[in-house]
Amino acid sequence: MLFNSLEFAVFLLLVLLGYCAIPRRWWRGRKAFLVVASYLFYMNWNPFFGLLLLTSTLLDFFLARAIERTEPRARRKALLAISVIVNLGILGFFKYGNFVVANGMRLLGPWVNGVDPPLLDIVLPVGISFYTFESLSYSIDVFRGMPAYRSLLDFSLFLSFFPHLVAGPIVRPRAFLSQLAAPPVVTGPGVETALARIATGFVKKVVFADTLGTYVDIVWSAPFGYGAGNHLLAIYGYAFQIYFDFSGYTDIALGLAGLFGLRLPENFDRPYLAESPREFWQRWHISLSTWLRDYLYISLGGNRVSPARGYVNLMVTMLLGGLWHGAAWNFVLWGGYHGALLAGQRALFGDQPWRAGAVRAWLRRAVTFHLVCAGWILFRLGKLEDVWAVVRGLGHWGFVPSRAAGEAMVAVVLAFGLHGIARAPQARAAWTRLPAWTQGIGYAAVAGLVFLFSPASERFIYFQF
Amino acid sequence: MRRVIVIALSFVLALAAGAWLTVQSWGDVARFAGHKLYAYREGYRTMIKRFAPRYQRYVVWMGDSTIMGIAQPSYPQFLAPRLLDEGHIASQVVAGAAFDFYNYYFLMGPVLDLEPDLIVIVAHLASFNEKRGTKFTYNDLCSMIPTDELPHALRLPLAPRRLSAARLLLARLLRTEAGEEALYVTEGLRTLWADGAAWDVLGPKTPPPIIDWRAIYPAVRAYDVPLTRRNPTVRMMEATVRMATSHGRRVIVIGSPIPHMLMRERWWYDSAVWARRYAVLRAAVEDAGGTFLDLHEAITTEGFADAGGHFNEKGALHMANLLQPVVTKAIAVRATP
Repeated sequence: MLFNSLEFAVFLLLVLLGYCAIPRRWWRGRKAFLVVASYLFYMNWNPFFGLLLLTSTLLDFFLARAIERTEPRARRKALLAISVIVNLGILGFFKYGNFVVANGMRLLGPWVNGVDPPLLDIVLPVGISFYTFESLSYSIDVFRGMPAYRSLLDFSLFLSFFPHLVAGPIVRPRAFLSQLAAPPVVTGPGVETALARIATGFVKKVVFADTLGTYVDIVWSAPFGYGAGNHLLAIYGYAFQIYFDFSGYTDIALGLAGLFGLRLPENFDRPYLAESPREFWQRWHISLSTWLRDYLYISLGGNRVSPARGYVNLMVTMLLGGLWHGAAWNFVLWGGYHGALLAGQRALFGDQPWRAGAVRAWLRRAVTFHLVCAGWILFRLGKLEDVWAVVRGLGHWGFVPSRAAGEAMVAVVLAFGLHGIARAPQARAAWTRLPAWTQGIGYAAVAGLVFLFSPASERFIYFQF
Repeated sequence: MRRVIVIALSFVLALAAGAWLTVQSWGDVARFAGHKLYAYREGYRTMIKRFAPRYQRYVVWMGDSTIMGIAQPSYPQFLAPRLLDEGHIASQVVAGAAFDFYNYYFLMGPVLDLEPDLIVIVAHLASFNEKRGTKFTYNDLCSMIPTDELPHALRLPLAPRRLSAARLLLARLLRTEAGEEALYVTEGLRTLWADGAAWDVLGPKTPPPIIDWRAIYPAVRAYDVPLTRRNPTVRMMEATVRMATSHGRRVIVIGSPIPHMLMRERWWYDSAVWARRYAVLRAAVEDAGGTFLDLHEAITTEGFADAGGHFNEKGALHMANLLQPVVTKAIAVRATP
């Protein structure tokens, strides 16, 4: 069930009505209702997915309690190892099973020439990468000293809450579970902000991301046929497509959670204004980058080790971060590329603050943006021959004009402008200060716009990861 | 919370007023555009009607653009007069551009109502490739699934086509005269918006074609699809055949020819690998009670009009010659439910 679908609108309306119909004082009833609704939402993709989610939930809930009760560190470690192995095992089997088999077959090359890899009959469960990380972080937090939660209902809601279930943001257990202790207060201003976020998310997704996606698909489905003009537009287009797609989804998710009075973490902070690769990762997919930092990079020793080992840790973290995005070598390469950028920044500039100056800052932003864009080519194009076609295309000027190109150009220019100027929280605050009826009319206009643009609407990119 | 109520009310009122004004101003044009856009839907809804008397034997061809016979006749069009002359067999083609087994499944209900003696379905290998990038899903046809088939349908792999149990049920629920008209108007409005002359300032709607020999590359690469029984389209194929055979109809699925010589020349092709892939299709069809006819190497490059598996006259005639005895023989034996 996509957020931009009629069935989701019906689902949300029913869930809101049901939630409000349960008295606020019966908070457990409301939570149970949300868990059931979230499982229905998830199982609508495939009923089997619900079973997997339930497995992760039960496993980590009870393992975390066992870890908390256990005194000897070695036994605690063993229990944590079970959680890590089972969680990553499930993720690995469903997400990387075929990747491993196919690459194993390639390695065996000469002996199995001409034989299709015996692909496993696997359907990748939507959002498994997100909730596996959430579930794992709970076990690790409890191992590190956080008290285990007593309520299975709360823990189930933490993992399954439908706004963040399929594409994040990756929620931290403490931040979410602490909100479930008492019924959240749903205030008028809170709902207004939530509505503004949802509307923004829809515009980002349907008007910008999908318009840009149409053009990117045209050019990069036959990358050898286009010149530098088209490729540059496609590169900038994809940079903003993926940003608007994912941040649009996040806005909708945060807004939906807000309707129930719950808060989810921010995931983006105008990433293309970053002045360095490191700052980019502090602004892009924040919930993933902080997860990787806290649970992987620091666990490996972080930078409290020898400089050489620190670089290795950085590279391992980024390579695995790349692989998290999908079972394909281009994602690993993309992770490695960003690892190299981060390592390069550390080696060349260390942790020194940048020299001040507006011109210097904008130059650094431009360089960082283009470095990130180069990475997006690897990310988007699954095959190296296609990447090479783009690189070659950039080498000779040519531009094939079309309406899709014109639309993409307008969208890119608007995107650059909005990205550079608009500060989302302030804009939302200004919007919610407007008279209520003006907001209502504004949302009707947004609904009209979304309706008119939506035929081209595709699924959210991050649903695949 | 009073402000929220005012927001909700003004939203609903503004939306209703906007919709009313739009329908008043462009309703008729939009309805016309919608009907034109969904002509295929109306066609399948109203035109899948048996035109030959019940006593006459009847074959229905279900397929994609390779059998539509628009630019030039394809093999069902060549076969139709021959079958009629020689065996008094009437033929009907139910096909659409980029159709696949999802669409055949949606349309199988109305096709079964025709009470055909034989249903021949085209299995175009590229349609099993989820990455082939077609924009046409014809998901609206899902409302044509017969009610008694819904419990089976909900267990099928709907997600790859952005369908879900909820969507299927909603589509069934909205399958009314008013729902249908609303669809035409809304989709017509979107078309008017998307095709508006004002957009022309941004550039030509249809850009000049990209001429490069490698333009065939994505087309032939689409045939490189490792298949298992869990492939979503394979499962839909099995369900489609099973729906027909469980109603007592004979079904032949044709493993449609692919430009294998071109693939060998420009990409890669290994007969043994592709034979194994077609064996997967055969097993699925036969398990569902149908017959699989593997013709994937039946046509050489000279028989194709393009790399997308469309036939020229030579190829279509060759296919007709190959299929005539098969169809005649199959239709002679009536299946029992």
